[in-house]
Amino acid sequence: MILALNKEQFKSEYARSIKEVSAQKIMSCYQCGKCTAGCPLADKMDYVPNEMMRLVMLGEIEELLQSNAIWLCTSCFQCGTRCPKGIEVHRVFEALRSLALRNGINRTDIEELPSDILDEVPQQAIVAGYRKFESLE
Amino acid sequence: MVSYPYFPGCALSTKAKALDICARESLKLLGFELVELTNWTCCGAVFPLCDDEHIRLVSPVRALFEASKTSDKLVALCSACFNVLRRTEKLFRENKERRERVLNYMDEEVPKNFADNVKVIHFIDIIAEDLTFTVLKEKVKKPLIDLKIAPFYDCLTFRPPKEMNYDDPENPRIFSNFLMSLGATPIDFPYRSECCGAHLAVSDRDASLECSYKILKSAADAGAEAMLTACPLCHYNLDSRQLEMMEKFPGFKPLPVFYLTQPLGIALGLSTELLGFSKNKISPLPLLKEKGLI
Repeated sequence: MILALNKEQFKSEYARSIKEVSAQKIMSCYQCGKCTAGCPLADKMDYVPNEMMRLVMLGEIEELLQSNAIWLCTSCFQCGTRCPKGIEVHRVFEALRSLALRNGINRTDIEELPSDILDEVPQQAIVAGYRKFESLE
Repeated sequence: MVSYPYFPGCALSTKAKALDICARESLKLLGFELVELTNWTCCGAVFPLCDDEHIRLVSPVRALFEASKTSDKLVALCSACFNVLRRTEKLFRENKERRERVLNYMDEEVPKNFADNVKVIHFIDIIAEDLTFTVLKEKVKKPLIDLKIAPFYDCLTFRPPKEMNYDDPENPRIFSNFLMSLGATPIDFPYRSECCGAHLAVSDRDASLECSYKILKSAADAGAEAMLTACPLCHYNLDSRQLEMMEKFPGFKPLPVFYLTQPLGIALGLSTELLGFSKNKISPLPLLKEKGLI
């Protein structure tokens, strides 16, 4: 993927929103990759956590809203625990997910799950699923 | 009998009853009582990670307020509830602006000046700190000799460390110490702090199955005969889905997964009915019979 730095994108409303909603010092990321090394789902992500951080720094938010990475993050907090710069990377993932949901992008339809799964899976997964994967728009 | 206000949560009241019942009954034998809050609602399952989500703190704040009427402590046992309540407690203590915003939603329910001095503690803290593991060891009726259990350190109890401030997030010991005081042999394993796949169980079932499989395999390779978890969702992913693992991963051998409180119940001599093994998909009964524990 070739990226051209684009000042407008860099200062776009989306980029500002991610910084504000995540409340993280995104620009202090120096790409050491410890977040990715600890991420249990990194091998399945199209953009691994440190790539995601880099794209956010460059303002490439729309690219990330279309990624599978933001939906594979389980908020296990390993990335934020290990970041030497104290960035809570999981909050950046959440801000992206939240922006996608607020723009009507939906990941899943929990009501359509087979009833044997819904009968067994604990409520915390169902509530978390509605909170993190289903758009209210 | 010393009593504590207790937030059981949705799963412990329904699908993870064994975790709850063993906790209450075992503590009674040790001289402690868990008193369920009279007015509690779902904690929200996940702590709101966006800085502009205020309304989602209403439920955990309601629980903290209820607990503050009778105590300066609130006990949680479900990992998700513990995570949400403990982080809310810290946020309220440290962030006056967000505290005020949330309380604006709750003006008829919670007074603005409510003394938020309630400390959210984990069930195991009652045993580790108020009873102590040394005393627990003396109270054990049936030591779990020769039972090799791999304690699983779920994400939500131990992370994020800045907010949870609970044990060592990279090298947690509390469940191992607990198991040792019951006479069991704790087995450390490389994947003991990895994520089980969590709520991907409702969105990406293949991905979460693989996460849980890696954890179980890691424990079995390290010599474990069973696993231990405090989290209802980890228990679902690690126990209930082993039938799928047997189909998908050739050579996979099933491993019984205990709730945190079940080995305590066995060691204190609770009846098999109260131990609630009927809900375990991989029954620990053959293993327990082999060890002469039931």
